[in-house]
Amino acid sequence: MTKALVVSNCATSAYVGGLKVLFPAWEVRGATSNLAAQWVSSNAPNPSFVEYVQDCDIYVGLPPDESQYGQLLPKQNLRVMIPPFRFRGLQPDVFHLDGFSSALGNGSTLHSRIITASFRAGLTPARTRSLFNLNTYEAFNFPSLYESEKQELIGRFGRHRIDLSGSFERWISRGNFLYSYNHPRIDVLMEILRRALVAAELLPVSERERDDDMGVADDLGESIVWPIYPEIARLRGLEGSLNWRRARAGNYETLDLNQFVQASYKRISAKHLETPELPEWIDILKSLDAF
Amino acid sequence: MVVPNPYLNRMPEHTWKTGVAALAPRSIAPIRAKRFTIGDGSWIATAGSCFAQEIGKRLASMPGAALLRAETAGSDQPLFSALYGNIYTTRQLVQLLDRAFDIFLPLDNAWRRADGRYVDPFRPYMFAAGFAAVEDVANARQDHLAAVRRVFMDCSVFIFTLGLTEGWRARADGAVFPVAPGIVSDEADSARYAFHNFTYAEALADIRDIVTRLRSVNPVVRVILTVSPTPLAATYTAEHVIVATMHSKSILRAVCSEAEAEFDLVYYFPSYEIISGHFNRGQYYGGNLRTVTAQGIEHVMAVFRQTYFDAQEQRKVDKSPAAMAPETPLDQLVCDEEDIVRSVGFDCTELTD
Repeated sequence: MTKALVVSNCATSAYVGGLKVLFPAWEVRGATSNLAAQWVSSNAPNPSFVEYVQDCDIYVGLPPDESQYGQLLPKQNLRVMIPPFRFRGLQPDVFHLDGFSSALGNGSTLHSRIITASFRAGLTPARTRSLFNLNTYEAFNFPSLYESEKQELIGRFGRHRIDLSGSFERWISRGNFLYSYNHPRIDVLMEILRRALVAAELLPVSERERDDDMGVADDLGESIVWPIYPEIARLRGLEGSLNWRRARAGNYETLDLNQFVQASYKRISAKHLETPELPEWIDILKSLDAF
Repeated sequence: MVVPNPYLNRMPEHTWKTGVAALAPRSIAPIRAKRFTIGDGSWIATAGSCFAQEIGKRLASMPGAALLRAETAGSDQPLFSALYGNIYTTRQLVQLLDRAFDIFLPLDNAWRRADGRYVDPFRPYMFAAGFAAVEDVANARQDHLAAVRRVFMDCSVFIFTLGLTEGWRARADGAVFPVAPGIVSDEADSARYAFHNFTYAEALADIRDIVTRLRSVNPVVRVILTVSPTPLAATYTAEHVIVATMHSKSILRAVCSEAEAEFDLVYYFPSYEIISGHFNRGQYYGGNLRTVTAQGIEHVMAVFRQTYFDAQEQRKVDKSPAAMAPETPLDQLVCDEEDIVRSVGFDCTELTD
């Protein structure tokens, strides 16, 4: 029986599910990259994982490069590289602030540039809320990010022979395809998986015509949501929102802009002294007469 | 006569307090005084050590930058402008130029691996499967060197990342290899090869040679030198690897400054300082304290953009989130959600912690 191993990020379970649908006779197992790294380390080894890595016929997922689990992969096995999905063209305000847990909960470090810069500049939450408009987005150059992010994503996948040219138009024709900038809808992930498998000659070229989700569960759709702000959404013919979805005590709840700003201020102020200075973003706020 | 304090009128970046201590590490941008603008239509070529691969990858996706690719790299091959693989020492680059223009024909034509396959001694890891015969290696090299000539002759900007001073060379003709022959082939006769640690004078002479020769085949080229911040994986000297690393990097760094001062067309870019500088508290190295994180590369590339792309475009880029990439290394991007399914099919009860 063919043994396939998936090591990826939050898309791991989706890729495992997709492979099981496409190749029902295969044994398919998977782990997130940080869990895989943990399982091959001396601190928290998982013998069954190590054995499977050493024995698998096909590897699917993030380029293993110099990772420890990558070193364990058989030299002759087939590797289907799928780089991480990351597209900020529709959610350009989002960024990671290391060490600062976000208002979205569950260990997330995703924050809003506008809110973080406003906090650092000493603006009130009310003033910060008023900055969520097209003027601010344009000052931050958000609208123009769509095209460069799109080209960057196409290029990143193209380097692994995964052709996504033309995919964006199809994805967006069905509405917002992102739950957050690195959490795409399941049909997007399945299209990427199929195209990677076509490039690896594991699937026929005709599979490129498919664009369905193959019935695989959309786990990421049950998770956090970063909205596409209405003015930015309109530029792409989408319906926007200013409602975030955060995880809390095993459930999810929706925060409106007012609640999200308040919650973000609370999170950031908990470590006020360590907040980065963000001079460039504050300059943008000054240019908007935000003070 | 009162002598005014000459430092009073210096810019903020000229003092440690305002140029470093007062800033968040990731906002520090050591932009060089000697710089130029990479204009539209410029072709950028890259060569050098592992770190240069990362620069090449980022350049390939940077808006406004055109990475010259004379040969197409496969998904399992390092991304440089041609398939020459890692060039760690200055002498390797000199000899690549010589080989490309038929000035040097090394005696080492092919090495036989333990699996019976043959590889090119000057890029032994470029083709994982190796070649069936020595002739196949030679044929592939012929096409490759033609591509290398195009790289040197067609590029507008040549970025060379200096990696090491330590290397291995053939006693007979001085050919320098990227790795010790014995690592690749179990047939390597140790009497035929010798370890060599290039001196400051040798490395500087090599760079002078490279710049002069490059200019002779490409009169409009500009050269950007960088030093790889990746420490030595191992040293063959008698010294501790930390001491050997500092020795090597110090020489290469000094050579860059000397060459920059000597040649108008040479520019030094401080990726070494950005990554290895203690101002960032070591955060740009991975868990092994050697591998440079994607976060570090992003910082380097942000400063690269600010330095070499025109001011108007730069303002636009700087303010965009693209210039302030997510802090998580791209290849380690993990989900923010702790309750996302983290494994399928493995028995987590075997975890020992």
